[in-house]
Amino acid sequence: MNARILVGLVLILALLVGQAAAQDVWRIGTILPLTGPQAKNGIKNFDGIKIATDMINETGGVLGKKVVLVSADASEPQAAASEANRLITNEKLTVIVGTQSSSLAMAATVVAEQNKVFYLENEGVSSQITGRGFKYVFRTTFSGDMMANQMVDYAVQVLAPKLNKDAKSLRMAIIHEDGGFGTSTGTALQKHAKALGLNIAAVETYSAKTADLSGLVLKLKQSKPDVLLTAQYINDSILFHRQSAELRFSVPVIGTTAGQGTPDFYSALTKEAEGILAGGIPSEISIDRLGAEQKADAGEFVKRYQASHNGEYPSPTAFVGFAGAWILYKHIMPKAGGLDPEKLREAALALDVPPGKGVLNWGVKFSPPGAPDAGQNVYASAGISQWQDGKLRLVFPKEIAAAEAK
Amino acid sequence: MDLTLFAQLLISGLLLGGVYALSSIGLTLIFGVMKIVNFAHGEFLMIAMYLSFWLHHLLRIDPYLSIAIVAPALFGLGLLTYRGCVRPTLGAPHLSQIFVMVGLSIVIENVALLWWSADFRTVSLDYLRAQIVLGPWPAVGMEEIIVNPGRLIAFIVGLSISVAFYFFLKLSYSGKIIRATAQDRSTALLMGIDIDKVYRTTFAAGLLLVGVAGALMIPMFTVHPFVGFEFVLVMFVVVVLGGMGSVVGAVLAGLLIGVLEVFTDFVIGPDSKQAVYFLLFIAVLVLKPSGLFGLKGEEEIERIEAIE
Repeated sequence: MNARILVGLVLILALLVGQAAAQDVWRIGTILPLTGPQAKNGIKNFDGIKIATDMINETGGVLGKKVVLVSADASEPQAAASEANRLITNEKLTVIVGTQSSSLAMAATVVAEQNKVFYLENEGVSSQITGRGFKYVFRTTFSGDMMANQMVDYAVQVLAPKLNKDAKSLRMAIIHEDGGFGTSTGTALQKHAKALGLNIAAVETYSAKTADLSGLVLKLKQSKPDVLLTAQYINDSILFHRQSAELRFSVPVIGTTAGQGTPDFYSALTKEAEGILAGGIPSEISIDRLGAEQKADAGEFVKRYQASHNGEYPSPTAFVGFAGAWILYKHIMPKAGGLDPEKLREAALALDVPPGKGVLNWGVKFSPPGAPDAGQNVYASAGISQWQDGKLRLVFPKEIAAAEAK
Repeated sequence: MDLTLFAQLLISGLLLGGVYALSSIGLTLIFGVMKIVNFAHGEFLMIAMYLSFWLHHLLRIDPYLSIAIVAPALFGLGLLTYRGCVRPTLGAPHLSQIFVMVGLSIVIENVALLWWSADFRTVSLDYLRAQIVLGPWPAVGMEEIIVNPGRLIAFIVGLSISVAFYFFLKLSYSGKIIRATAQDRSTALLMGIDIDKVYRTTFAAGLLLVGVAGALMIPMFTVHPFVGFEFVLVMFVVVVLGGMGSVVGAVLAGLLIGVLEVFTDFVIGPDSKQAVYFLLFIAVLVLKPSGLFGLKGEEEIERIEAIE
């Protein structure tokens, strides 16, 4: 027989076997940026989901069936939408998990909502994701508004007393990159600061792809702020802090875990990164404050992640990937009895896991339909961390803090 | 705006412009001589930055000394790329050349992502943290002005290269050959000039220059697989504005864009800087399509016959 025909036959056979196997597994779609500029976090998020899947499968799967991931790669919003379409139409999936970045999530969730497919967002924080009254979109992580509020609260409750200022006289400057993440966070920061009647000295927007921020630094320096709140990515946060040091602009900075809170940021700035704050996912405390079962799960996750990543401690993005999938496998799917979107929705809405009982110290309770943040996990919590001796320590809010703010 | 601030903005702008100029020289050289738009230029810059980063990270070689390795390496890469991707498309329609170069850039980008992951990597040199401080000059009421040494080095090297190139092209015999080829390929061929050799060396020299730029930029900028994409847009603006093929034009246009950017940041706001320099870009294209320093007709891309 011709070798080519043989190979063809084997492939067909493999496909048939695959089809047969597909009958008795739970097939779940993932949409994440696995290539492109956001791939770094996208891959880590996927690794988190993958480890959760391995862990659940090794303990017998969900309702006796194994979970199989159908992974899609989307580095741009258009790709996120078309991949969502493909997963729904061609792969016939009814559940999708994703999407790492807000702009990708915004595009993919629209497709899911139109097709009545259950969409679990585990990392995109833009408040708009759960602000459009969608029925099938649920977010396990905190929203950008929740994070921004904490950043402002930290400035008022912790920084102002340290600087011997009262909240109203604290001069606050806000800068943000002009993408979906920066804009929504920047808007939320301003909104909360205004609601508290704070003194906003400057608000500036810029593109994260810039090669220079010296003009911005000099402009900020002139407005003499007491504290600077930022929503930046890695590259631009490094550039901004380097040029600030150069031009001798030095104020306490509260950034986010998308920029200031990344290991790359610390390794670029080392000593100059000490004391810098980052709002975002509170990964540090969670494990110690968990109940015994949750502690074991999270500990197992950390162990596996480190084993496959040269001992690297899971980054926040890997944690939320794991947490989202774990909530789906442990809390939502068993109650829904499978992957029917309507039943998943009902199961999700009926959930009330108190804080401390979900993985990562978060409880799970989704905001009901009709609420302004329908589908948002109201028990999710952001936190403020600070670089202290090369480690990102959680310092705020007080109830979950693991270290003292310096 | 007081004098100190004005001077600080001007200096920051000029230094930024120096970086733009330095990274664009290779691009304009290749375009000027070969009429080929190297869409993978940003990716070659990325390779150079990575090479310099790894030499520092693994072998502790100072980025400035690594030029001795990175520049020849990029020259070699240039020879290979010329043989593999550029030469076969020389006679092809212009569109095919664009496809090949854009395709090459995508391949390089993704290979980099595969090999080096999407981590953001930096080189921090302690001796560059010591800033150069000018002033104060109380007599004219000016306070201190701060100069970033890394950018100053890039600025000086960029300027020196362009001056050296200018005289090389004007005065040397090889320069004459290159100019002859650039001006009229067919006549140059009739005069017995080895066109293939001129193209080969020009392309490789363009990459050598981007190699120098990469090594000089790594102490200041973060390298990641998409860093080329971040710089390439402004590089094209610099090259077209300066007059395609004009090395001196590229330097002056680079400085202009740098100063414009920093002042826009300060006066209007950093969100409008691209709008401002693209407005200038469009205005120049409308009023003087050959760019500020280009020869008339330089912007027209002639189609040339295949070599061989």
